[in-house]
Amino acid sequence: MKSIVIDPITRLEGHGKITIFLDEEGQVANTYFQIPELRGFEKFLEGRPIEEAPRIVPRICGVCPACHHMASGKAVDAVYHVEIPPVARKLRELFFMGEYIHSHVAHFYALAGPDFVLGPGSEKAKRHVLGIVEKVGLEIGGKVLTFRKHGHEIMRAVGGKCTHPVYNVPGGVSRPLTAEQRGEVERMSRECVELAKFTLGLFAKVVLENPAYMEIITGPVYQLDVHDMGLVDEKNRVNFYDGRVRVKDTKGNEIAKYAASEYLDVVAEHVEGYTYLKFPYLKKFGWTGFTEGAESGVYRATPLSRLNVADGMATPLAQEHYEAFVGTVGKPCKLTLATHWARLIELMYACERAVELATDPEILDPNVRTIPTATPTEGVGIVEAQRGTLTHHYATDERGIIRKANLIVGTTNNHAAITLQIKKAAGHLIRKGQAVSEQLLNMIEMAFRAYDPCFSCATHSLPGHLPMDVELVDASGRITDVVRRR
Amino acid sequence: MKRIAILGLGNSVLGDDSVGLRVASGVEEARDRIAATVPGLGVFQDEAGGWQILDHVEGFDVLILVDAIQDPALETGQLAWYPRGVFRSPRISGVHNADVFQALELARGQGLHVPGEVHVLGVGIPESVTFSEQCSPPVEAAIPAAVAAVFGKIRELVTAGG
Repeated sequence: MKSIVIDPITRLEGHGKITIFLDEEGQVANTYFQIPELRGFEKFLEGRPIEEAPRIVPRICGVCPACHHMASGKAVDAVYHVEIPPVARKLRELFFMGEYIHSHVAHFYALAGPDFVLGPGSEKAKRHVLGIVEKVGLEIGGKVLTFRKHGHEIMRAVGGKCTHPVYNVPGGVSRPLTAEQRGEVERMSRECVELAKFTLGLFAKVVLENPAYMEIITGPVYQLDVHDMGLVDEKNRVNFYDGRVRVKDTKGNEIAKYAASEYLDVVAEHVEGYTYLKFPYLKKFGWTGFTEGAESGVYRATPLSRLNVADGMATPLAQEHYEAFVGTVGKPCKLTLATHWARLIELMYACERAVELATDPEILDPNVRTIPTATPTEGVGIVEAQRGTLTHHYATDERGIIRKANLIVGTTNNHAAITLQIKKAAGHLIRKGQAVSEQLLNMIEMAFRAYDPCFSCATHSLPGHLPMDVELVDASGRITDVVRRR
Repeated sequence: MKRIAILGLGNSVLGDDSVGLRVASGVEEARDRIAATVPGLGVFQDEAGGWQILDHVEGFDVLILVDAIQDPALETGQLAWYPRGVFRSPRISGVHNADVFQALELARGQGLHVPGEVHVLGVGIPESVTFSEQCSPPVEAAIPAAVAAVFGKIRELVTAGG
């Protein structure tokens, strides 16, 4: 038995390790995806006043702070049994759209884009945002920077701070929007709609019109037949901030639709000894191991899943692109790499939704908070993080001190699916007697990069950049070959 | 005179990983010592990284980054200045977007005034994967020396005609 170790994974927040075991014939026998996840965040919350939770949880990492802030804020409202004013709900959603814009832009231009714009087999040294600029032209650099900045500035204008927000308070938000801030947010959001059009146009030109890329996207390497999950509004359209979580089976039939407080009726978590990160699964099917198909308990919660579970998008341009998407890749779509396209459709939705909210006649209403009066007990808040359905569940004593916290974070939902996807991709790509090239490793990495995974931790490394080591180890434990990324 | 920005990076609730933030805080508290000789000094903290550092550094000529580092060559609490490209924590690598150096190059390519000179100070830490608001005693003890090292670098830059 040989093993290949990819550790740590590049272009992935935090530290991860992939081990690929080969049999005597040199074929993939098994894969392990290990995450030395941060320890004890739920414990860290215990003993804290509940109102502090929305300010503490964004510090889990710096990648999707607003998602945790939103899920936590909603859970705290539930703990206090308080209905927030309608304008507070809209302001929270507007703030959240800023993070969606920032995060989805980062993923496409810095992480996924290089695989397509430059090609999966391109030189590693150029496989980054500067490589895209070099290939597409200097003008795109300005667009990327403006897009990135607007996402952040929308958050800043609405909520004051973006990396570690202090916006959500029990019963609402900390401040109303001024007319001047509203005008700025509207201006930036409208510009973002134009930038989203440009980005979808670039994707169409570079990817959809390229038969070689479409062959990769629609080929067997990156397909995964598992169930889908995502938040939908009252008309079953994609919604990031509010609604009910809809689950569809592998054939596209609705099998669950639950409110935040009901999540434990639908989802349970499996533990494996080799990783700190749990494996959520659908209770309806039970934990079936790392298996695909109609009877598997494995599901995905990704941009692709959200489009699969929804009946459409709530804004016009996003809906137009959604229809083109369904017309091209079908529904339910099980093509993992189509997640990149789905993410850009979501980006358009976030930009359009930001314009809608910024121009909402109610958005300047100063009544942004309902002061809680009930005794705090227990509550659950759910939003769609960029990386999947995010659940925060808190229970407090009568003084509002947290006694128990449970978090199912976006990427965790996809842990089993990512593990399966890596095994499938490795099985197709690694062949007996074939050298494990850097390009081949990148194509295995593409299997999980589509999920935009985030396993934030404080891993620091020397030298240069996050390295990737691939070791070939024979049955006796002897290292027979090493591929190092330095 | 060159405008200098100090940016401390870290996670404020991840024990020793917060040390970059604490060093920046120490520099901020003591900035009066050099305010007269180094006008326009910028001192910032960020718990993210990558291209998000662009939110802080526009208009500056020199950037001094301070972050925690797991380097087998360093004792816990030991300090080291790293040449460009050698030390990059995930925050400096910006593993979720673009690395700090790519981000600066991208901005420069668009005509933005961002630092062309970057110095990175690393503070040696052990593995840090458990949440805590405290640094370990040896890392805590290193903070004054790290603040002094940053001031030393500023003096060096100013003396060199910065």
